[in-house]
Amino acid sequence: MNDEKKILSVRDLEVVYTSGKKVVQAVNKVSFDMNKGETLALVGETGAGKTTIAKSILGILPNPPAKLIGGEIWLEGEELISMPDAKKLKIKGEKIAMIFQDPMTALNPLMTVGDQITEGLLLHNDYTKEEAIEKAEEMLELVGIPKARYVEYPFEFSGGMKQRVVIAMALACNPILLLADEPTTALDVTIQAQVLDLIKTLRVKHNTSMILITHDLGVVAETSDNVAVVYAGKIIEYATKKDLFLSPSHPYTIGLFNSLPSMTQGQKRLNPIIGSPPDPTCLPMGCSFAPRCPFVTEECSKEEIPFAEIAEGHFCRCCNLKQEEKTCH
Amino acid sequence: MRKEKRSSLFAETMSRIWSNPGAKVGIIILVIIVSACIFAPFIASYGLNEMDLKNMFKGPSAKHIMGTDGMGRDLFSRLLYGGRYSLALGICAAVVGSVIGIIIGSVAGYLGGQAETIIMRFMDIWSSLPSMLLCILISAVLGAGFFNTVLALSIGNVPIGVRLIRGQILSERSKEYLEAAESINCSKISIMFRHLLPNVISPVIVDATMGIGMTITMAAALSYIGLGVQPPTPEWGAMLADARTHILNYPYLIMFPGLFIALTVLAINLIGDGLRDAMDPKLRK
Repeated sequence: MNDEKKILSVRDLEVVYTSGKKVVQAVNKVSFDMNKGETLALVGETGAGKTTIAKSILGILPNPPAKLIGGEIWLEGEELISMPDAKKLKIKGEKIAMIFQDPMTALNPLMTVGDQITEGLLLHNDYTKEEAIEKAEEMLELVGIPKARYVEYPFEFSGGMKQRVVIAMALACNPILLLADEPTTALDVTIQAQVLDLIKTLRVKHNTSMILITHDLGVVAETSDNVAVVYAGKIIEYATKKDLFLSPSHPYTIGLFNSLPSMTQGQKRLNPIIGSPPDPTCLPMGCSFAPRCPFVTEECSKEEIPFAEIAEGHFCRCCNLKQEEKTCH
Repeated sequence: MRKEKRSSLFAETMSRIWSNPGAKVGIIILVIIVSACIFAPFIASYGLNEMDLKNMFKGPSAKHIMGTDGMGRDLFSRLLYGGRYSLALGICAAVVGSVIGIIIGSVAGYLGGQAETIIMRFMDIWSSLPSMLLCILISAVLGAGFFNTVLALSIGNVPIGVRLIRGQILSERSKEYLEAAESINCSKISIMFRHLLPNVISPVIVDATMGIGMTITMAAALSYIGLGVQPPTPEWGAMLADARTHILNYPYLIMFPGLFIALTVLAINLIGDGLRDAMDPKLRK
């Protein structure tokens, strides 16, 4: 049994956003598992529901408008959604921490960076103020910022440095699960590489599992073990990084790879996926990618497509895969 | 070293105000007026209600530099003592009004939803009544006196503070650092007062500063119609009211209190302007 290794298990997670009479189905029955020390990348385009999944795990969905209507989230054998708030407090920020997307707004502009790290430490540990400050200084050094800068304000830092501070905050309490919400989107490419390296090193050091949310396949290639492709609030393909990059199976995933610019062929134009994601207030029956899919058949819109295992550990939600592919293990 | 750095944000703001010529003039004027009022017993050569019936309605002279009023009281001395009331009224009312406004506004802005709608509609009704009318109403119901006047004057400042702070919070609420604070499990109170409020408070501080000037004028107006601080307490507005019957014969009786009010309000507004520039986050590096 690898249940001991399993740290996170999400079952049939369903989240809706309500705005007036409109109901947006942001997350539709998402399920996945994660093992200790593993990195899972959630890939998908804007509005696919990636961030909503992460926020549901941490329990910081803005309610209203968001509402968790079903599902279970198990962390180390404990169910988070039905857990009483008082108990949940020990989990938020201590066992699960989040790295936010935009370092420019993720820090309080009127508090010194050191104080912001210290705050979390004080909330979750029995440190005295001095111990917490010391630990915070250690964290700063760990992410490559001299501890003398403890007393500086966020506006005195550059974007990449701010993101380091945000990482230091997230890792300060040694979480077992790190949610990184597009941690490098707001950074330029060189800084991006540095920050990814930093996250990787620290993660390996503390054996932290991570859910990495991104729409950058390059980042996925660099950091993750497994990949889940999210489309319209559903996971449509799940595989190890190698499998996914070598044999993408869902037409959407294939489309994603095709739309990347190629270094070798002298292309003039990119090959985008035609169309745009479906209106999340009324998702089509069956496969939600069907309206944009080049291989669409009548069968696609008939009923819910099963999440079939097409190779060992490689799942895909498409009904047009060849039968032999579906069964061969 | 840590201590030094801590105060830097405040010190920086102060130095920026000081480098603004208008604000500098305002600070100098205000400091002179305020210290003159505080040290009135040492500066004024006559008592607060010291009458000299032989010397009524004497124009400015070496003995009485601003002349005497209808009961032979030295106008300059009374102006200094009166300033204590006027300034205290202005500052108290502006602070009380803004603090109440900040509390209601933060609750409305942070909670959102139904609570916000109810509070804001109530504020709309509140601010649709002319604040002078509200002041008169409250003073008339509660009676005159220092504390009632503070209350009456601060009431008018509340909706302004509420609106300002709510607007600020709405634009700040979606920032990720609040979500980050929530994600490390800060309590709602802590998020509201430790993280959110310091980031939205500068316009309210500026507004409250400007409000002091306005409130002093309002206080003067209330006293003028006899609802503010009661004679013989020498509040500036009350002095104006006393002098109104002599406006044609002894214009200096109305000129000097008027001048004090105008100078103080001008100084405060200059400081307020400087403060707004200094606290504008866009100007911060």
